[in-house]
Amino acid sequence: MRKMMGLIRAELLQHRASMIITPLVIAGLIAAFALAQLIFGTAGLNINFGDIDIAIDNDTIVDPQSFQKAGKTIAASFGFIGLPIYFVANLVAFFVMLYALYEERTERTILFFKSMPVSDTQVVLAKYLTASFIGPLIAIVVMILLTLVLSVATATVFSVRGIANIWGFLGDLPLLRLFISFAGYYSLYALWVAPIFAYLLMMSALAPRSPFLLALLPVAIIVLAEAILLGSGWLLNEIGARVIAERLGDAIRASRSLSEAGAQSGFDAFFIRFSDFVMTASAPGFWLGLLCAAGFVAVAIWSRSRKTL
Amino acid sequence: MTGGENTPIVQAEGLAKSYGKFEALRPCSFSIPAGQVVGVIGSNGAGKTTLLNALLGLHSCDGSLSVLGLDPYKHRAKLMEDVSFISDVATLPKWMRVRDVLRYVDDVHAKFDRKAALSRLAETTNITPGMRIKNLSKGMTVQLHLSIVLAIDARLLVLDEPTLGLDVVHRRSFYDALIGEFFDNDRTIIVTTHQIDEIDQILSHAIFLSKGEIVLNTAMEDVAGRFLLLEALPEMDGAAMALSPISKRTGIGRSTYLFDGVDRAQLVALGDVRRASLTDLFIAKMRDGDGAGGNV
Repeated sequence: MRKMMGLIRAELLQHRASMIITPLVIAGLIAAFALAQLIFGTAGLNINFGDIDIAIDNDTIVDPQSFQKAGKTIAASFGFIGLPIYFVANLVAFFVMLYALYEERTERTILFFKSMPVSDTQVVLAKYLTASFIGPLIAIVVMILLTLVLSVATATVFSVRGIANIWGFLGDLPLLRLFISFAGYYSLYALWVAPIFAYLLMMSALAPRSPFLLALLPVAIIVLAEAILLGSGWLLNEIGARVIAERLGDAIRASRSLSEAGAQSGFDAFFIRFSDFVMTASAPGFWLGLLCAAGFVAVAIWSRSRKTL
Repeated sequence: MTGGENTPIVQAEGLAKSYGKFEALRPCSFSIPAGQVVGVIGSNGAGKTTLLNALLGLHSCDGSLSVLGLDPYKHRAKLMEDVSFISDVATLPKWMRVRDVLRYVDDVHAKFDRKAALSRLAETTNITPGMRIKNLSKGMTVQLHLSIVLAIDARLLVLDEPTLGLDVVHRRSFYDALIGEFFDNDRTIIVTTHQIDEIDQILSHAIFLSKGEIVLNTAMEDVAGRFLLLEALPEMDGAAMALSPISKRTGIGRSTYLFDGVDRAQLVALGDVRRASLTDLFIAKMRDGDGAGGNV
């Protein structure tokens, strides 16, 4: 376990700029923009979501109790303001996978890492876990921190301007539920895109040079061949549907339609449920994708064990 | 894992490595006992790194190979618990600081003593934990890597041209540290180098490689007893040739002959006799391997 922690720590060090600093910078920019709006703008909020419909501006005096009811929805809205952080984290994950096992050869650091009592399997899995899960989870933590900052800032500005005394809603901020939901949805997404992540990692292990082109070429050839020979576009559609979370969306819609409770609105509709995992696990193609991912990772491990430079 | 002075640290039988039709290492058999400093010596492309990579499990090879009782290729991770390695190029991750790399090794290596590494760095170098590796000079990087491997309780240390690019002062202090701080009768060092004159004093064993083939595998004490260099008087050239030298080099006015296993008493009558150095042997063997002029 200590070895794996050490390997993951080293990965995070290597990708500190893209996995830690970048989310913080984006969050800082979003916070700065939002705070500027709050301080120098109309200091208003306009939230229309489910059964919540609130419009607040400088002239509106809000009853704290009615605001309290909307607190969860407001917090969720702030959470979604941080989505650019999440999208960038996903983009980072793709590129980290693509170069993870290639750069260590071009930089020759592989000779140092192979001089340590760590197996190729441990190294490859650490790289996969860090890029696929740990990096995006860091981004989600930053999103939650951003939600907290924006909520405190809103309460402060509203209080100072006498619009509403809404400090009470800070105590009800569902930050943990937000984190669990975002992390849960992301975990499901990461499992759907696992074959794509693992394919990129495999190509980074196999590529003598230019992993991007090497990764693109076989896919382009198969897509073209499929289009010409079969007149279909299954592979391209499947890749696209997994990357843009269409497959995940299908599974969650199926999960929501399972029960009466699925018809919940507002913030509760966003909260991840056990049935989301069940429906994902029973979705067609899910396990096949994981099987492909396992195969690609196995090739990456095999390739790393055979290559030094 | 096996051990003890009588058990070879390395045992190779028919060890070979080919890349397609190119034989990087021709079939060879040898063993290395514990408590030796072994020099693997050869010119560029001789197969030194191929041999070392096989010993370290960095690539597969033909034949059978056992290092510390393990198949290196199948059990590299396990083997590295008792083997340390410094390559010919700077391989420490440039995106780490000194403290990061020490922490990394501490996390993954059960036999690493981080405090010992930090103490050595503080006592013998100007390197501080906060320094970025990418900002270290070549000499400092080697010193850092040396401090790391010396703080690992390893039984075998493998060095591939470790002092390449260093000035003479750093090269000397590197080997002094190796012998003073690492080597003992239970530990073994295998080192490849071009700079034979710098290590011949510390070697206990030498393996010469030429074109992927072991052309000499001898203990240094045998070198002193076996190989003699004769600077023959001009009129004694014929007599010298009659004793079947393994190499002849023609100088100004006199020829120099290298003999293997010829009695010193037979040679003193023919000219000036001295012990052959490792460099003399290397030149003779490499010319022999190359089929260059001047061979006998």
